[in-house]
Amino acid sequence: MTLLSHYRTLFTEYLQENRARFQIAIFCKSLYVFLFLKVIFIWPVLPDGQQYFPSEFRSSIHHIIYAPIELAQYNLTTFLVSVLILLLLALVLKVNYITSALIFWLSFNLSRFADPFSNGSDYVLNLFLFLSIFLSSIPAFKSEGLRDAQIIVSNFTLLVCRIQFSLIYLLSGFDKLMSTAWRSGDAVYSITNLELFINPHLVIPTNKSLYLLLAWAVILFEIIFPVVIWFKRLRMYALVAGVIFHLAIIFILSLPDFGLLMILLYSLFIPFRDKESLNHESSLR
Amino acid sequence: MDSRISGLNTEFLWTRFGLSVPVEQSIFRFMKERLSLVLFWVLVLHVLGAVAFIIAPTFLRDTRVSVAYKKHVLPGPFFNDSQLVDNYSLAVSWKVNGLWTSPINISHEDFRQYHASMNPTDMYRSRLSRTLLLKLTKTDTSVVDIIKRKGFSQLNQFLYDHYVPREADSVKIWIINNRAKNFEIKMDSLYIIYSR
Repeated sequence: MTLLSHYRTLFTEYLQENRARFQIAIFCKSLYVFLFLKVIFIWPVLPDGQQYFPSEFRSSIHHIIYAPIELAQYNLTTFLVSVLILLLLALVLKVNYITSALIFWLSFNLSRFADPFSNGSDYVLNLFLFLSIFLSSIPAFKSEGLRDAQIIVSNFTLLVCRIQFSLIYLLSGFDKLMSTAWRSGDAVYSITNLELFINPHLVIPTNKSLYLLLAWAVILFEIIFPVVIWFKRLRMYALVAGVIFHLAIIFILSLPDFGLLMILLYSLFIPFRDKESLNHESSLR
Repeated sequence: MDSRISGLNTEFLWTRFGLSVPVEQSIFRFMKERLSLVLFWVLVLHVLGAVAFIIAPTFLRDTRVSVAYKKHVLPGPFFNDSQLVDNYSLAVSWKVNGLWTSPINISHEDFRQYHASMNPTDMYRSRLSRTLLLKLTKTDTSVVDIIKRKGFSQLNQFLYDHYVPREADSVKIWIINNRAKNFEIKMDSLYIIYSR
């Protein structure tokens, strides 16, 4: 119980701080840049996707939630140009509730519209874009008390983002640990034979020991990383290992979107400091 | 705005909610404490729920809440072994003036194009043909059943739009599955020929 009270006190103190504005801006804007690039690259194939997998709306609520898809079906260019303009605006402006909420809504619709091209990165992106709505604290309330509440919610959301990010790794790591195919290295053998994922320029030697080694390296990384990332002293090593891991996913498994997104999400753990917080820290010394 | 409370038994409120804040604090201070407390328990419950889903993936299996949670709140697991075993590809050939053309593996074509150009658009294009194919191979069914499926007409339309010329009178497709499991590959293929 004492431990719980201790964490509750730490948690309450953390929520009152107002020093993560710059980090939140970097995090949100890196997601917007990612979405911007995704729109640019997916644009030429979207008409094909709609032709073979047209979106259907089953209820009146769907017509409201998926209103941007209806616009896209009517005029794809207008829809995509609107998304790009909004993203450019969001990159220039301070992170705020309005652009964050609009971007999440449009991204959610884009994922649904581009469902035949989607993968896990779309779910991860939408999850963090949704959370980013609550990271904002602009427009701020006039009342000081409500403004403080905004900061509390924003700090809380930042913590949730970090926890969620760790849980994603832990889920994958634990799933692999429970899998016989992963524990024996057979899953890595299967991956090396995935003709539509594995880089055709690579020559991977057929060696059971190598598969076993790689499989355990992945399992251990996915289980250790989400724990180690919370310790300041080890964080940088974990982040470097993580970047190497995701670069391997990009180049070996041909998943540039997934790998890049996960690397961008590392900004949640990089201790960025803006001028205001540096001044605050120096005044405390 | 004067945020101080007057005439309100705040001492009772602090005691009631277990908060050790001096009496006569501002209402906002009280709200902040309450908000922090609520958020703390929300976070504890969320982490416990997530851990339950991680440790016991069958927890609340197939309920709408569980499906939505796994899809939108805790996406993953990625590279699950069941997704790695089957390795489908599609080849197509067509007959013009009584002669069959050499088969084209369309699944490989866009994928190789992506690695040649490093243009993500080609990767998205290869995902489309793969999705069309996977939709058709979701469950084990007979050739007759496959031809009747909506996915087959979608795939056909895709082939006619992008590969098979108008003058072709017959089309041949191969659905190949190189199943990599237990450190060996077993090839399984399905061969369909039909008139345009």
